Amino acid sequence: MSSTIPGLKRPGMSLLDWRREAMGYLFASPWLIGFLMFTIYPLAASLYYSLTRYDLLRPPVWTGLANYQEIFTTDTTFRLVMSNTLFWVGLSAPLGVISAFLMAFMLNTRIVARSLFRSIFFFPSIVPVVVTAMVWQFLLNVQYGAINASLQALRLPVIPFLSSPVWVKPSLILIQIWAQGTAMVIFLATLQDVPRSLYEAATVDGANEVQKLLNITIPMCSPVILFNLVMAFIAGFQYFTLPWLLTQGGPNRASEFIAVYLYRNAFLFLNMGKASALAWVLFVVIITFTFLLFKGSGRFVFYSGESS
Amino acid sequence: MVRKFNRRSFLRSAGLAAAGSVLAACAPAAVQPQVPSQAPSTQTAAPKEATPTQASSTQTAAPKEATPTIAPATSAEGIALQYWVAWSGDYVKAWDQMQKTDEYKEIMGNNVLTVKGSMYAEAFLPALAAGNPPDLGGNGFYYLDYMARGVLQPIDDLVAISKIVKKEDFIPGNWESSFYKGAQYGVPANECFERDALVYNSSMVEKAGLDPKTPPVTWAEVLDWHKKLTKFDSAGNLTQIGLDPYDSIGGSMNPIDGFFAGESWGFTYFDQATSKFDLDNDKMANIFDTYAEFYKVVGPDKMAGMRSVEGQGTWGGSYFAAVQAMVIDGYWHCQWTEQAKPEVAKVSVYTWAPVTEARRGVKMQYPGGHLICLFKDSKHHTEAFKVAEFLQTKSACDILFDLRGFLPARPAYLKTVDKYTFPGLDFFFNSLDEATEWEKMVPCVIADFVQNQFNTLGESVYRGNMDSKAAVAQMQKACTEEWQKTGLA
Amino acid sequence: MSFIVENHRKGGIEINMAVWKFTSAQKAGTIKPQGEKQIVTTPGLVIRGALKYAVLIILSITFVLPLVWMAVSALKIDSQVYTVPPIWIPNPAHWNNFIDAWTAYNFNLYVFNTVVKYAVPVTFLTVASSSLVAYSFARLRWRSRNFLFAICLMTMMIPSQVTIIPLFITFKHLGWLNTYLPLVAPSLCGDAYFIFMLRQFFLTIPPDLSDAAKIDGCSEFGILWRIILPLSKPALAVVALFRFLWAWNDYFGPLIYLNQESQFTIALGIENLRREMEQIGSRLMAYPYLMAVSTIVTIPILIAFFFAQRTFIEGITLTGIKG
Repeated sequence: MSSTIPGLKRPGMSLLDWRREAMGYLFASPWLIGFLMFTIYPLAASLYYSLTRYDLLRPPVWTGLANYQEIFTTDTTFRLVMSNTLFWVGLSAPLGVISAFLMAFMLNTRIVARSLFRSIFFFPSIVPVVVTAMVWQFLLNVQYGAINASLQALRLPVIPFLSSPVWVKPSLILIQIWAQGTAMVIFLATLQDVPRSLYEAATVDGANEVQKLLNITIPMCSPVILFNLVMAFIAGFQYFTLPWLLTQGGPNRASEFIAVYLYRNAFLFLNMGKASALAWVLFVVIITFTFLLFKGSGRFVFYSGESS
Repeated sequence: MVRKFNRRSFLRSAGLAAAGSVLAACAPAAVQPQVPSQAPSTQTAAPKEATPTQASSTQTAAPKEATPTIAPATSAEGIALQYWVAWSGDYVKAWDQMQKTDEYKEIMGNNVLTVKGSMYAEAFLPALAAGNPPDLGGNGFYYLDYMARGVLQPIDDLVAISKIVKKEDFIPGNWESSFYKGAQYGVPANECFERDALVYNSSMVEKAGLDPKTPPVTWAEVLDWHKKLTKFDSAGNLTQIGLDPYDSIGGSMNPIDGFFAGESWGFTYFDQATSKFDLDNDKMANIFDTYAEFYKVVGPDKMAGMRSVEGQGTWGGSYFAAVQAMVIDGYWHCQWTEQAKPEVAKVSVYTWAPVTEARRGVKMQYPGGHLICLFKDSKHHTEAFKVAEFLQTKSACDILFDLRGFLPARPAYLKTVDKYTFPGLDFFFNSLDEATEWEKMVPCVIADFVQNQFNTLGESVYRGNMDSKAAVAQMQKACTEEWQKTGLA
Repeated sequence: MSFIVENHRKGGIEINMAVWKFTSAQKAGTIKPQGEKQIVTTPGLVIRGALKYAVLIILSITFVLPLVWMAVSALKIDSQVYTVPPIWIPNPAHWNNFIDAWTAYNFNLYVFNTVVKYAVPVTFLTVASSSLVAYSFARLRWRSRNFLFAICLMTMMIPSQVTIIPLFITFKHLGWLNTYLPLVAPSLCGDAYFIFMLRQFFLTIPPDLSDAAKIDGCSEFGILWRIILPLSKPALAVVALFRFLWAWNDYFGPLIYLNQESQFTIALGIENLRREMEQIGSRLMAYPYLMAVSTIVTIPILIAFFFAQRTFIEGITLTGIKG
């Protein structure tokens, strides 16, 4: 419908189009209002801060691109935290998603006390993060930790889980996998929706378990898998609370991720200007990664995909 | 792919939906404002153990005479005041008791004080940025940092007319620490007594074949003790250590607790007159090297494990557990040890902190500690100041000492305290007369940055990743640049 | 209405079977004769089953271990906490820790605050507003739709540390400091994650259903209310559960926006305990108390999940896929 009505700014949009537009905006208005009130201003403000020297105690002072210049040229810590973060994201996101999927897959089969098992696997993710940190810090402790106590009893050398630069990231990954409960629940929901009839048809055709997993389950769940992955990446780039609680970025800055470094600059070094610049760099990195991920998984792009 | 069929696209969408909820689920933890709010590690502002702050010890008779003339001049309805601190638990509970005392009622009148604990940087900074600070604050930020950046209220005029807060009642070093560039911004209160002592567990020392009656005086001697006190089991696991120099006061580099190593080595790392850092020197390099020696004996990973053993970042926890034989710590260590492990307290010996060979015989002490400060944007300076005055009274100090073991920087009050209340406390009391060198606070206003540099570079040195000369050069460069960036240089 | 749904149900299954056969034949390249491998050998089945249970049990133990540690630590006193080797069964067990810890801070009040003033309103508002917005992005066709949806997604990628300060200033200007408004009011505007999630769910509902309703004269809101939402109950349940949990555990918001102790939430109480643990001497028994409170706080949610699992996991029967 491209009848041009005099007076309309956009030739080509019919009255119907305008009405649809209005309806769309109307329903989306809660989000739009929130966006304008609670997102636009903080975003703009943080962009402004990134171009200033700002310690939160005195008014910001304009410095132009100085913060960005510092980050990309003289700041050696930035390179370190960026590589820590990339390492973290590259490992923890896929591992987390894979383990959540496998757990869900296992818990979707016919087993005794299935509800109980599901609750057990889900439980870790509802514990508040601070408690998770406290519990694991004790468990992994070199001196008082239960895990090392067992190793010692077996006359094995203890493992400095959180006190060695080499072991700290793997330990964090371990905790991350432990807390995949919510992701697992989502996968469970998805697995439920794979029609049993497909599996039945496959059995009739003589497929074994592995073939079913690879040819039915995974493809049918692939959209969820992809997006879980994307979201895990996004969350991974902003990973902060657990490393801060457990190791404060140590030992030897092995767990100093970019969000930790950002926090340090913002609240401890009184350098909100640089912290804002770091945040915007992070923002751009995340958007780029997400975009690349979507591009690279062409079959599963869904943004325009409403049902046929 | 067969996109035409509804079931297929349903499943895909369900997947997306699921993904979305995963996002929702896992993202909050990382993305939502869960952000900060974790206790900054031991080194951050105040956390240096919000040690008990001894509210100023009230002196003997002063308050009774003082209060009437102070004339709180309260209106019929009192003012509501907010006082934020990083301490929590018993400190806040102590205020419940303090508010019942006569002195409180006399001084505060109808004003209502709310004490909010567990307030750290992420609570203070947003409030300050929004122009909405509390009326009073203490131990949640580095005082000098805030003084230099103009968010604290100068109180010279209020002190001048005060009958309770008087310069001569305080230990000079503490009084001076409340000044920045000639103006006074706080009053020493809550917890502001001495910081420096070498503490050791005499029974562990004896078991190691050393003589607990002749403590080490220089770093070389301490290192020798450390080597003999560090023990491993047959599997190579650490069972106990001598000293971790970066632990507690030994590793502090901030105005509240001092730069212990610098004082021990005898140099000042920042000069306010020239506005320059002096870190690129032999003494600083020697500090890194000497401290590294201790770590080499233990093994960096093992030492880090031992440190995290200190009960999730607390101070001195491993000392109470008798897996650490020595620690460099302040006067609060007496009460803590007594509370946590009386049997360890009984065998603890307190002596002078170690110094370099060149400075053998120097008995050093640092008058560090906390202040109570008024925020500029508060609307009730006169009333808020009364809280600072109240903290100097005897009742306040008694209660804080009772509940938290805090002591104020008021010699007259200290005379009313039994110096044998906890084992070792007498050492600190005697220091008042016996110390030969009282260290001065270094007015560095990028406290956390400098402390962080000290920790990270020190770690690079003891892990063998960096040479100490390179480390001090880098520290000088980084601190100078950061200092320039603040615009206060 | 149900007639239409029924038809889709039946039609869908056959289509799906055909689809599977098509794709699997392409992939596998081989199609085994029908009926040949119907019966699997029994010993193999037993071994596989045993293996599966073994893995499950080992994993379960690993998963539950930290939580057992948490519950067990709640029964200790300080001297039983910092021991080598660690104690798994404290003897004596101090059951009164639970009561002492709960009364160390005013947790009853905190629970009331958290649930009544924060979690419930915020959950309800989030579900309502996110549904509205998701409907717009999923079921309505308008030009700016995809663009705005992309913006919505991008808001999820902003690190929150730097928006905290300007947001705080915004709330200050609105006069909302020291109230629950900064925590609850934004949920009136939906939440990007849940908008995304609900959008995807809504997308799966066949458009024919809406079309039929429109022909019958139903308004857009009517479609949302009468068709889409009822069919999305499990999704809405998931949104509600996660948003509730999120509010239940939220610490930072309450920290900076609430000044009076009488307004505090559970998470604040827990965090206070944790900080005290870091200041030796600040409070004895901080670690056991912290563990005790954490145990008390997580148990109800666990029980609720155990019983409500079906709603979330098995209840997604949007159009009877399982046939």
